[in-house]
Amino acid sequence: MPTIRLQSSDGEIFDTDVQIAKCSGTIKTMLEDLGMDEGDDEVVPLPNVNSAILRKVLQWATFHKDDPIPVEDDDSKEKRTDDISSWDADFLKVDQGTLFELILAANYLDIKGLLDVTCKTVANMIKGKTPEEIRKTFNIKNDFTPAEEEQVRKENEWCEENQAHARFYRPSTRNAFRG
Amino acid sequence: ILVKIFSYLAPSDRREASQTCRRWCEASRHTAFLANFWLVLHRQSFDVNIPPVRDLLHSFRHFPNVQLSEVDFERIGNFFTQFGPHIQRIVFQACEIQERDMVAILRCLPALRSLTISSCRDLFMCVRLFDDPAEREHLRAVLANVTELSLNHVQYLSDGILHRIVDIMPALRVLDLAGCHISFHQGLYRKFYTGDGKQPSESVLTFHYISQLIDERKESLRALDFSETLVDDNALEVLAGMSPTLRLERLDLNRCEQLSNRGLGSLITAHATHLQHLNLSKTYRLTDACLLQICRELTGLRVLKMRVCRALSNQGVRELGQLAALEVLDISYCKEVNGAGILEGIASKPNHTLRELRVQGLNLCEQSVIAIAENLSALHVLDLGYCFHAVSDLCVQFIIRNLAQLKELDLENCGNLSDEGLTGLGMLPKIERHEQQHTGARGAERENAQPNERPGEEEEAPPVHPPEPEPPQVVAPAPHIRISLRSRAEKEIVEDAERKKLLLEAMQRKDNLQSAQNDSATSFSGYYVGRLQQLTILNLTGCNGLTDVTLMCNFRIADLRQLSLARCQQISYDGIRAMVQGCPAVEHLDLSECHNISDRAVEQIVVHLRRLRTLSLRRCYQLTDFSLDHIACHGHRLRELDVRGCKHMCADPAMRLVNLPLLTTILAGRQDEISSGAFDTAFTAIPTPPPLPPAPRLTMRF
Repeated sequence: MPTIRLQSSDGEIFDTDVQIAKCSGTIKTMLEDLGMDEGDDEVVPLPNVNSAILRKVLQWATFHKDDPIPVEDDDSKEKRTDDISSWDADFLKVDQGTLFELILAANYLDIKGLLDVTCKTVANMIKGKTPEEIRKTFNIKNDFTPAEEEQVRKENEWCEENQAHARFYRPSTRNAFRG
Repeated sequence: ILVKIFSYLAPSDRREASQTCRRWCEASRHTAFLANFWLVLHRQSFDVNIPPVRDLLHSFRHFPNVQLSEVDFERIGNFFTQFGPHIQRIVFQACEIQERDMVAILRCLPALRSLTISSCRDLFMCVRLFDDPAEREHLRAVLANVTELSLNHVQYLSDGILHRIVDIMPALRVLDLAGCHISFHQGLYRKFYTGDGKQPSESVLTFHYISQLIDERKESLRALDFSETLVDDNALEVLAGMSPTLRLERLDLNRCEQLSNRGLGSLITAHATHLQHLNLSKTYRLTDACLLQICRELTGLRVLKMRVCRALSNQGVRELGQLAALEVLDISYCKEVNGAGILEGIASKPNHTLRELRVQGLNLCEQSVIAIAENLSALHVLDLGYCFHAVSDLCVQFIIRNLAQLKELDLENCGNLSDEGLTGLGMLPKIERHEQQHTGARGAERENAQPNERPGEEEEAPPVHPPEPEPPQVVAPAPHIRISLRSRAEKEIVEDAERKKLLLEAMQRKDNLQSAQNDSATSFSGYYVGRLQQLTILNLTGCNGLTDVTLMCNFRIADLRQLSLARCQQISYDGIRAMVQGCPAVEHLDLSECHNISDRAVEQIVVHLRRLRTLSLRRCYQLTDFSLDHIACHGHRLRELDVRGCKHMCADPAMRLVNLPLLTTILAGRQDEISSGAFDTAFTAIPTPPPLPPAPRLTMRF
């Protein structure tokens, strides 16, 4: 089986099956554009990905190598977050830092499936929380001035999601109570 | 990337996320997210010098959609000059506004696409609205992009005013005149249009003029709404006559009681190729003939609403399968329709297009509900309210298992429902047995060997029966002498006992949530409602078979925003405590008549449900002023509170809640008679639309 050699940012070399490596759109384009022969001794450098993350990415790609190629996201389709497989869920039980690194790597390497599943995981971690809890979960520094924060909070008080543009009743009350 | 992550969140979650830091705030304001975001001011005063408008002036964001209900306009200042260029939809509902302000606002809205004015009396009482031609000229240039105009429930609308308003909107595609007093009789027209009859009347709104208007604009008009008017068959025939130039895609005729098959028939035939949305709710005189015509001719129909069309029966409903593109179907309260019709018409084969199904109050059977669950896998909304005979625990298990995309589930008043249905405890054998019955029955039909059915089924049973950790009294592998030892009835009895035992244990361990989690993992159990992770609306009003066990057993739905447990009288503190932990995003909670709710439960609610906006504690007799204090301390986002009938509270709860400026609607009163229906209308803070005028006295028919 033809293999390809990938080099992470800290110099470690990974020998990978070409098919698996081609899960990544970036690598695929690189191979095709540079016309690299398979089985060559040449190394594909990936300066934006360190070895630990690259190892995890390859692990994911190996498991998912037989997946059908995901189609382009249809913007009008509903976005679900509850369809993460159990293997993926286990795979992503990592600390925050690793999770974000994986997102960045998936973005850089253009691996749609991994990007989708990691974003969904982060979205699930945000759901239902207050801003303070979200900051704590993700170690985000609050860079608002008190005035700005107050302003954002006040604006948000007056905004609603109003899908159905209800006519003469407020969608909140009518729907919940015997609409 | 942040934008991509945010696209997976619900808008209310994005709102919370935007308050964390600057980058996240910017990401949340991406244009794609703002499309459905509305700035809503309700019962506030619109004055640039006082909040909220004063605070909004400092905002850096755009407000593409604005809804102003019961707002009185004091000083609009430069709010609309500042934000106007990005406003695309604006709604004025029961506002106190004068013409001068309205014109000033409209001048600032060049990007406007949709204008809705709903019952703003003051505005239309000045008869010569938009009279100045120079002003109209200017407005016409500004409002060149307006495609939707809705003037619903406007009491004083006249031909003249309508003429002038439509005059400034050259690009109209949608015209909505629901609830306006349109007169359809020729006699009336002649009375008010003496003389040359060219000038549109200032005193009446006639269909004669409206039809001329539609005729002028028939190339661009795509949608019409005459709901709650006296529109009759003749009017529809006039509209039918305007095609093929008039290509209607959407037609709303809700509560138009004068209509019958004749008028609708001609209209349907005329617009058969392009009609996509048809709302004929409460047109009582419609019969199956009309429905059959709809099914045959309107092949592109996507939305069909025929709520309370009493004359419909199975005969018509059976043909619904012909509408291959149907996405939304509402046939609630059509009493003649029962399970057989639904089974044949909708649920006979797998259907991936139907997304919304409302069958409230129909006389369904359990089998039809299960068929719905099995075949309509793309459903987002399922409304089975008041189908109390049909909805059983088994049905609900099938719903939970199969309809994974469900966003709204309505099981109002389904009294047969118990904890087993929503937690799945002990339901697995019952589910499997049902499926065996099905395959067994089908096999028997094919072979046509009736007597073999029973023993054949029993032979299948032992290997399929799940391995049980329970004591061996349940399955007796000992050789049996007579068939009746493993009869179906006996197995059911034994399983029932096991199930009750599980439930009892769950209830006794109520203080230990962890073990409740483990329960559902046993192989004896089916599906818990928490599996429906996309659920946003869950209505369990009147399901008083439910107890705290339902709320404690894996009731963790992160997206749940509206929950009603009204009249579930067995719900108490333990259940509430578990629920608020599991569903932190709840914004509307109805606990009316939950007599077992205590002050402590209310404390849990307001402390943990940080996003709560509407809370009903009507007739929760145990509540005292302590609840009000808890609300005052923690209910910062609360806008509407109902504490009618709480006998032990003080007479004026509003006094204790003055520190919550957002709380604009408080319903209180210690004496609260039990009268159904009053709750609904009293709670909506907007006056109900005026009743339809009595039928005109002219008896001449044209």
